[in-house]
Amino acid sequence: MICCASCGNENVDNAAFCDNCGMPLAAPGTAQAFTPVAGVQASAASGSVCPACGGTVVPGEAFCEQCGATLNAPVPAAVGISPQMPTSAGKPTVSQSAAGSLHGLRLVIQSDGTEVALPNKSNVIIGRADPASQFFPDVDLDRFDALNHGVSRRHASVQIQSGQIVIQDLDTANGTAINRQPLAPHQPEPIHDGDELRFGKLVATIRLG
Amino acid sequence: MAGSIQLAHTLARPTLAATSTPQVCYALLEMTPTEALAQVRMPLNISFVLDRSGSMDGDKLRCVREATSLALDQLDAHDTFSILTFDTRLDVLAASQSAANTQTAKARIAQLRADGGTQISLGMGQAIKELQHGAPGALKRMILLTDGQTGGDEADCLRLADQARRAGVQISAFGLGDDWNELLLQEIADRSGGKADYIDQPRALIAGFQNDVTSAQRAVVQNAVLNMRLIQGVTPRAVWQVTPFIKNLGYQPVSDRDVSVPLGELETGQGRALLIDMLVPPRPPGQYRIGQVEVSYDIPTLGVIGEKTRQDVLLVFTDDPLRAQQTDARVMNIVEKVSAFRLQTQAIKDAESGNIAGATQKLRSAVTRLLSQGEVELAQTVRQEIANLEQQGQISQSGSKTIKFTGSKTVRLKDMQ
Repeated sequence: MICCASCGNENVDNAAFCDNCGMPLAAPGTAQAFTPVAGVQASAASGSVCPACGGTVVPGEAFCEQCGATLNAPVPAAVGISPQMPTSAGKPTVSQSAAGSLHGLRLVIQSDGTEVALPNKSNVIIGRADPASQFFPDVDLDRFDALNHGVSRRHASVQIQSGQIVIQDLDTANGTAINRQPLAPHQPEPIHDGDELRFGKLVATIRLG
Repeated sequence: MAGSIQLAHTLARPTLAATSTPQVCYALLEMTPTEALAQVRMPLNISFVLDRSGSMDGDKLRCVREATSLALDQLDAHDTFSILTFDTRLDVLAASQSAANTQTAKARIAQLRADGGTQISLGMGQAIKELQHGAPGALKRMILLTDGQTGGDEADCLRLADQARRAGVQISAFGLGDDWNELLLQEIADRSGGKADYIDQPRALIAGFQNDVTSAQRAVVQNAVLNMRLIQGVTPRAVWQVTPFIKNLGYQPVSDRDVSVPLGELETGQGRALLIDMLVPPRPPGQYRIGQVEVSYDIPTLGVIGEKTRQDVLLVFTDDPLRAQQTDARVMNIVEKVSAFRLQTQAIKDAESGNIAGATQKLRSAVTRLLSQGEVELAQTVRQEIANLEQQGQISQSGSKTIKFTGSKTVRLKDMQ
């Protein structure tokens, strides 16, 4: 029998953890007295009150039981791509891109003409940031009212395949379309300069140069 | 056949902050029958109980004929079937017989005509009798379809649902259109251990019946039960089924620290996923076992009885605030979907009890959650019901059904990958 140093419970031989209190048994010295410690505060919902409705919440809860508000603390360093991000001086071409980067490609959002540059990567996820699940796509369309346009968190990916720039829908609820032609999920389709792309109901034009 | 079920768990936060207060911990538990079971198919003993009342005339009855014929095509000589139709009278269209030959039954289905009122209990009672025949060991399933309110025999229906459970018959209750009694069908399904579903368009019946037959054929694992043995201080707050649809399963305390959740059948190719919401007590930094999950099950076709698979659930406490912030995006996504569903169903209860302000506020939050998940159509329905609540003080029949049934199916295969 192994006696738990924390609670005194007798456990069967070879038990790794105490059946009563869950303390590790295998590594002597790691087991500490089972007393609450004043450590850091819970990262989520560190208070006991929902910031939205004032209802009582338990630390660690993801959503308020009363009003449904998100209780997770926002995560810093969201990787939204700024429209002011400097773009390449030269005109990007497919052959340039084939070297491995989508740098220089831009999405022109139809509603307000904002240009969103794709980052200097070979595979870019377009979608909508969601601090609750700590998901941040390479190109975050959140500020274009993506939520109400049915843009998924992981909506589409743009990458280079056999020298072509291709886009694929990531099996989204509201789909992706090129020039109003809906894409089958996970089927890469080539895109060309001036193609109209639809992410749910959010419309943009792809510019390769 | 040991190890026929793969058991896996993922914590929403693998590391919790070492605080001085209890915290919520979400665990996604996935139970999947192994590939080796994929070829095993359950023999079926199935009874179709079909409403042929006057309101079924036209497209509805056309689709019932087609859906039933196509469902018969999924059966083979190992299966048994019967077909009963009802209005305020009962007609045995096909008494219990082998599915080796379904031609005669199909010819009779083709002649089905709509007339009269609705008395569901007539069909249910006869179906239980028909299901007493058939091969021993076959899975007994009643597919019940109606588009309307039954004519004063609700209590009989519930009594028969209890009787069905005792006879090992699960009822899949399909409500077609907006005029059926969702509380009654849900209760019939629940009491029998089956499920209810909303068919908004007649054409959707075809997939509805086919999926139900497929699902019954895949229900190779029977009598599955989840047992959780938790350490002192860990308290379960809720156990949610998340696939194939969201449902609060509840749990039964077995002892001070043991709880049990009956799961029933597990299907090959799909399995079952649960979200366990627990409160864990504070701990100093370190790794702890907060409990053990165990699934016991039978595979009658292989002679496996009382097989068990179990897993320890380990949790790390840390005093590193950054590490404590790490979350598993897949599990958090499912937590959000369950939260949205819970908000919607609570809103319906609020509205039914006259708490319009509470219902409206919950539905508004649900819209935010649904839009966040890309469920634009469902969010639109919920918005319409917010307007209905504000203008008329109630949720529409179709809105209530869409929220309860469509809203329970927002966890899709891709969410689990």
